[in-house]
Amino acid sequence: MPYTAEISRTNPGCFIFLVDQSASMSDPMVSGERTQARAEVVSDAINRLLTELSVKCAKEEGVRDYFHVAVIGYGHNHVGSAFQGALAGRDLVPLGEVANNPARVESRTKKVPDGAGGLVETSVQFPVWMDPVTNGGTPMTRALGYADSLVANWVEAHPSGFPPIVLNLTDGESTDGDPTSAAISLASHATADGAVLLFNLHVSGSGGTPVTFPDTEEGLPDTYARLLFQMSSVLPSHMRSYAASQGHRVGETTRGFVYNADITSIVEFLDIGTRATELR
Amino acid sequence: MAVSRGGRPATGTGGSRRFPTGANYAEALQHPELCFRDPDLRDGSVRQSPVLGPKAISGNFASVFSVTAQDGQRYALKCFTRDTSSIGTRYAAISAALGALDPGALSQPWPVRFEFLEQGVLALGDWFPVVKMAWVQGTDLLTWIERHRQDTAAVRALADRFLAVARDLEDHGIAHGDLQHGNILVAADGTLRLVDYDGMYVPALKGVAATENGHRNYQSPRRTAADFGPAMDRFSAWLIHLSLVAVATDAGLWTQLHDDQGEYLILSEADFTDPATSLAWPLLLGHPDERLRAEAERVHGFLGQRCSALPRLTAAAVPPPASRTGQKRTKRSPAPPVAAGAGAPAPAAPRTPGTPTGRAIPAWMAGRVGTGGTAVPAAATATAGAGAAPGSSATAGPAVTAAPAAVAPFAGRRPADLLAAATAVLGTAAPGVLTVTAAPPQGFLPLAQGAALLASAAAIGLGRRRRPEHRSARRHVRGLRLRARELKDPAEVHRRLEQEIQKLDQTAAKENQASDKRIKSLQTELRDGLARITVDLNRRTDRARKRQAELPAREQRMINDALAPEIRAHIEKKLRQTSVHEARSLPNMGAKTIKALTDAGIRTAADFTGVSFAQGPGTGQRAAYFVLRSGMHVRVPGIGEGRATTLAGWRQSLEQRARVSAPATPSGPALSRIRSEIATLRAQYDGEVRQAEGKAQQDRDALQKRVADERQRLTSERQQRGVEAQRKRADLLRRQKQLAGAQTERARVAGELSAARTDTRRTLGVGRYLRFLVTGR
Repeated sequence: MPYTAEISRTNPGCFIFLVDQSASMSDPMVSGERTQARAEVVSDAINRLLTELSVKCAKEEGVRDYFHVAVIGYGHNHVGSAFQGALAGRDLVPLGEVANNPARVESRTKKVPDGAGGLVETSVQFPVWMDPVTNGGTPMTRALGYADSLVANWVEAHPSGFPPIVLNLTDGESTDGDPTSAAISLASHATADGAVLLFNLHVSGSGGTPVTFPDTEEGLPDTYARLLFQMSSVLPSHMRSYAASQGHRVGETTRGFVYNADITSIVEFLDIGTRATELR
Repeated sequence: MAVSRGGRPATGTGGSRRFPTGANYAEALQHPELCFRDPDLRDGSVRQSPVLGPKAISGNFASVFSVTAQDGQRYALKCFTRDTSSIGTRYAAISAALGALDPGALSQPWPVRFEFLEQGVLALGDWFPVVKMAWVQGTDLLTWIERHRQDTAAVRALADRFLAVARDLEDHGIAHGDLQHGNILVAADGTLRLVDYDGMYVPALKGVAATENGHRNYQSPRRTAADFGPAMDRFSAWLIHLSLVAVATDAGLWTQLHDDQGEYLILSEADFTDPATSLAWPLLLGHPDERLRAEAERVHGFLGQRCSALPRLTAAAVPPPASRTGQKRTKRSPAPPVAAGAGAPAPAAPRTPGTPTGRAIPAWMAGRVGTGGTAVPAAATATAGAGAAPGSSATAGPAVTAAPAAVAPFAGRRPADLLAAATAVLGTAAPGVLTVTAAPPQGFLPLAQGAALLASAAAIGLGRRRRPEHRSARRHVRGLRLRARELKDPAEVHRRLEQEIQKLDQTAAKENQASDKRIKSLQTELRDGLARITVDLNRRTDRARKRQAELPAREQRMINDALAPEIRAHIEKKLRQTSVHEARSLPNMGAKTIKALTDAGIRTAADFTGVSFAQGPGTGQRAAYFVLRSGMHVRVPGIGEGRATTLAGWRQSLEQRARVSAPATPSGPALSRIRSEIATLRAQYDGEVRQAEGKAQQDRDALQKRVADERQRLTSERQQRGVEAQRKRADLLRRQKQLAGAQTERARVAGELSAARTDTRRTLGVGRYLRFLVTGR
């Protein structure tokens, strides 16, 4: 059965984040109660995802290298590592090293429930690996090509492992042509455990209701959203089960696509150590 | 142990809710004063990671944090990240069952005290349950084995302790559900603790659904949620016990089978799902140790069995190891000859011959080396200890017992001797013969004769030296010379031998390590190689499979294409058979109208395909045109929009009816052509897939054979090396022991050496050899 390979230090997984850093990402969008630039929403999502992955893979002695992670930015004349600080310029980095090297740890104020029905303002530590950048066009096709070469090397070196997961975070407005064929080529790489998984997080100002893991493009607000939906891989069955256990309605054709909603929960879809189980 | 109730039921009602993630908890725990209600936790301090805030230890269902209360008590706080159904009721049942255990009746204090707090932690604006457990000081099983694997006795003791824990669980109808290295901790006193009770079964949970199936590298591939029950630990229990027994028996197995980054002991999921390609099983099933082999065979036999059908892990099921039951062994077999025959002087002589002794100068040498005096009894002691035959003379050194009593004379001529004799005779005679038959230059004969004599002497010397008698005599002399040298400075020689032994051990260890590593890397090589073959196979068959899946649709398309002209012809025929005169039955359709139609060339329903309308000039009326088969539009006098529409409808309904009666399947030949074309394609795709699969299977077999052969070779080389090293070691030890009684021995060896030399010269001299060549005696 595909997508059941063990994820461990001897069989590490590969996570590639593609981050849209084009000028259009400076446009605002409504996220929760406040309005934020799309780029900020996306960099927050990446930083949270990296924290989430690190906590998920933390053991007594520290964060284990269950994954190797790349954060690739694409924007003005540039496709390459978006890490800042000690990891700047690097592509795939073992997770333990990622966890130990955020560019900085910010103190953010946050209102949290005080347990007695009220809210209280506190500060929370927020590790940051990348800041929002917005500049120039959206070379998404090139970015997918970049991921393609990383992935090709990875599957060559890890032919029996869990297939790489590529998560593209974008507003969808590719400026270097239709990215569909690049996406198909990327998703055609495979290990013995299955083909590469390409997921998309679409941040958009088009409004409409946030959508998480849809099984049809109907109801998506614009052509960008539909294009990204079509590019996204169908969720493997055990991931569907987790999505279902988190309250999402899923079916056979549910895809790894999220529109204007939180995608951090995708980390919970990954099984480490135990067998991929069909939850209920 | 207690389960706090109170507040609203957060879980267990069947509806799933979104639980916080590990990072959500880590964020909430940055403020224990806000996120906890429990006083210990609220005022406690949360252990921090170097960079990311509260330090988590995560599994698939929960993250665990360490909180130290103000009173210094440290707790493990388990925060759930997945909504495992009815956590609350489960933990209540588990708490009750474990609380009811009589600690005195347990083999060791393996259960860990815990408290289930329904309103444990406030995260994402909501209360979530936690399990609060006293922090267990211990080392997880994997790390423990890493550290102690060379300590055979400790590993064996741990195997026994584990067996006892398994027995405790079975006796009480409890099963842990996820026995694995991370959930088995070894306390400082060597006793075990079990942690993580999420998947635990206690009798009160009978009939409840499982929440997890345990760690993939510890569970039978056949385990399913339906196995949730008292027997679900059996596979993992046997597996862990087998692993411990294996390491205790042969620590090299750990190096060969465990990967230092691997989340398993010595066997992992692939060894269970695909035992045929496993490299681990042949090592265990073919191991020289009988007991290990027996247990490996048992566990191997469990692979195809249902989990519930497995026997419980019990001491009785495992044959006792020889080393732990010395008394029984003595009873069964008569006392070893060494103990019986060693004689009076050595009551404390080692029982097992060849047992490696200490590295320092042994006790028996202290005060004897270089002092002379009472050396003889010491030599005797050493001799007995080294396992000499019972009754052998105490004064005779081992080297002497092994040496021939006297030098054996030549006996039995061999072809080589005859050749030597012939060469000598011919060589000696050749120059004379040549001088007679040929006419050599002057002065040839004396020179040639001299050379010939030398050659003959060499032939004889060579022949003599190659005689077995001569060789063995020389060996004997060499051995004595060595002994004599050793005896000059026994302490120095002892040190040197000691070094040699150490070097030997080091070399053996190094070589073993290298081959162990290679055996381990073979497993990766096999795994990756098989995966590459699968990837390649998938790529090759993907296109064929896709096309195959499209075949039914393709067949339908071809049928439709073949049918279309037939249907068209059928309709045409039917329409042609319907004269426009039949249209008279329609309302408002007189003979005049029909005549106008036939005049315009429309005689049957087939003569027009439809009508169209155009705005007539001036009048508001629309003019009707009949569309003929040629595509021409004609006006028929007297037929306006109304009649035209009626006629078009009439024709339409005729066509509809004709379509219904049209053939649904193409004519026989056409259909069979299509069917055969599809069948050809199907066979072609099948062939492509089969061919690719066949090739993949060949590749797999070849790879497996290559890897298995190399594994086999490495293992047997390792064993040979072991035997060889053991032999060399025993030899060195023997020589070390012979150093005892150096003084007397030295004199004796010197005497024997000179005797042997003389003897050799006399018995095996050139003269004797010549006589032997001639007479054969």
